[in-house]
Amino acid sequence: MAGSEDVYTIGSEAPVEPDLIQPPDVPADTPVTVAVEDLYVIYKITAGGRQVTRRDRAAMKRGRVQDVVALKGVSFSLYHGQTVGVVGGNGSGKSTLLRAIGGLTPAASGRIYTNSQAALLGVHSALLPGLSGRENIELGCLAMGLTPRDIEERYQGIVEFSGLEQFIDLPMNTYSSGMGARLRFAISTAARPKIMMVDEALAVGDTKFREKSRARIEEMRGDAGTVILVSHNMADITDMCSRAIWIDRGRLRADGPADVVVEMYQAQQRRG
Amino acid sequence: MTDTTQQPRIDPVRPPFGLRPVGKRPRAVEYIRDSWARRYFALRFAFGRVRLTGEATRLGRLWLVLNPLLNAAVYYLVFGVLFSQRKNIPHFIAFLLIGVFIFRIGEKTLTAANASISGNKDVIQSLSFPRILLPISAGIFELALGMVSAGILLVMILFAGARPNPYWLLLPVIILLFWLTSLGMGMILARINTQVRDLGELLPFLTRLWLYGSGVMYSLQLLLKDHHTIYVLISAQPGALYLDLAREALMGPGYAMWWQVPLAFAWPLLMLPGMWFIWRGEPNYGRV
Repeated sequence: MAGSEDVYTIGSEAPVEPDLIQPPDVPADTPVTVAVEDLYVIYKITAGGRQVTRRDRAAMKRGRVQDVVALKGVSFSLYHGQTVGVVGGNGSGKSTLLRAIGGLTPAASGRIYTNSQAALLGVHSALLPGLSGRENIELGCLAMGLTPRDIEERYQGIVEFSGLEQFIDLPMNTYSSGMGARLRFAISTAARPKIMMVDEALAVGDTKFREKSRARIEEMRGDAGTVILVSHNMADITDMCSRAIWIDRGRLRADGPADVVVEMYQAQQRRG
Repeated sequence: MTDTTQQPRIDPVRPPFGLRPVGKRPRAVEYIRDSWARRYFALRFAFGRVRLTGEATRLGRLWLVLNPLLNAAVYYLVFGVLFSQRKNIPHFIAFLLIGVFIFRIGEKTLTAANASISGNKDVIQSLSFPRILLPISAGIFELALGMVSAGILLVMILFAGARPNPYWLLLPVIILLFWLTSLGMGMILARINTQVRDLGELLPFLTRLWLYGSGVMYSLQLLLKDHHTIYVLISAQPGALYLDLAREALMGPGYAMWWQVPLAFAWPLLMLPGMWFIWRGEPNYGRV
């Protein structure tokens, strides 16, 4: 284990004020669906038997390797009917944020409240890639808490939405990455979660599917839901989101109208 | 919350109306209810994996039988021939086959449950459900395979000289009790394994020790005939106990002691601390 000087102390760094906090323009009585306050997520490098190289160990003795602090005191609230984009460079903590909201990665400190279980749609593989698309639909739906009867009702809709009718009985590991993403998107939205988090899952789809997914996201937002969208495609963010959040190296850098935040982020990217 | 000029702050004592905290351990009742609601997931996940077994190998599912058979062959050579157990134990081949096949069910269940949480990182980081379903599903997978191999075992011991009798019907019950016990122990290991991965390295040695302490390929009764206390103690541990009962049921009297029967129903209670321990580990499994 790391010595005491290696352990990150929450709040030990000087607070960094975000560049922009512009509250969303929603009616005063709009309910909050996701509330995140002062969230810290820390990955302990030495814990859990993760592979540590000899160099790491030497560095640790010299007190150079610290815990990886993925999120450093992030706060925001999301409202009913919002589609919120999350932007930021690789490794800035976007996916960690989504996993924390979904209750999949525990917070080191801070609080998260939601009005219902948030569903995460990521680029992860299927539950059992050796099984057919059909079986993975059933398995995915069961894991999300649907009953076998729900699945029977929704099965046809899922297949149609994915557009994979001819391939549905083939093992999922024979699918292309785009096909897999289509099926996962169809499965995730079938449970009609009130809070849906999309992590780069649109990136691999073709144009037609992206159109369909956009329509589906819009539909879900319309059903008094909240959609959180992580994307490196700024056009996706500005087209689909009214609001955007910029996470920079674990900190909330900006929170405001999507076009404004995207512009700030891109300006910083250009500066390098 | 009506003030839109600033970010709503969360009252730590009184959460905003209708919102629920994320990443808090659910109450035990909710946990059980939620797990029960997703029971079909555990079943389908297990049986989906059953369908996929053996797809990568040419002999496929035949390995389910070949593996314990080859094990039994090695033990026969070493313990039967070299250590001449076959002369001391009547129907040694049937004795050995029962030992190998039944012990394997407990051992595999324990090992599978142990790896079920730490080995499903992708699933844990993308789907939210009570994590106890993972060891349970892994256990169901092993039980399904174990029941099939037990059927094959019965056919094989017929050829090895055992005669069918009504007590054979007790075998599924014995297997089920052994399975529950192993799953209970496996659940405790599963949570420890998420924090101390070294357990996975250590486990093969622990199960090996368990194997030798369970009289899979020799008779503990004969081996420890001069050490009665040790014999009684070792016969009380689940491995030896369920093997004794299985042999008693399949091969006739002379293998088990009367007090092993009530104990056989007591050991599965290990499921309770196992389930409790897994529940206490929520919601931190996402850290793996």
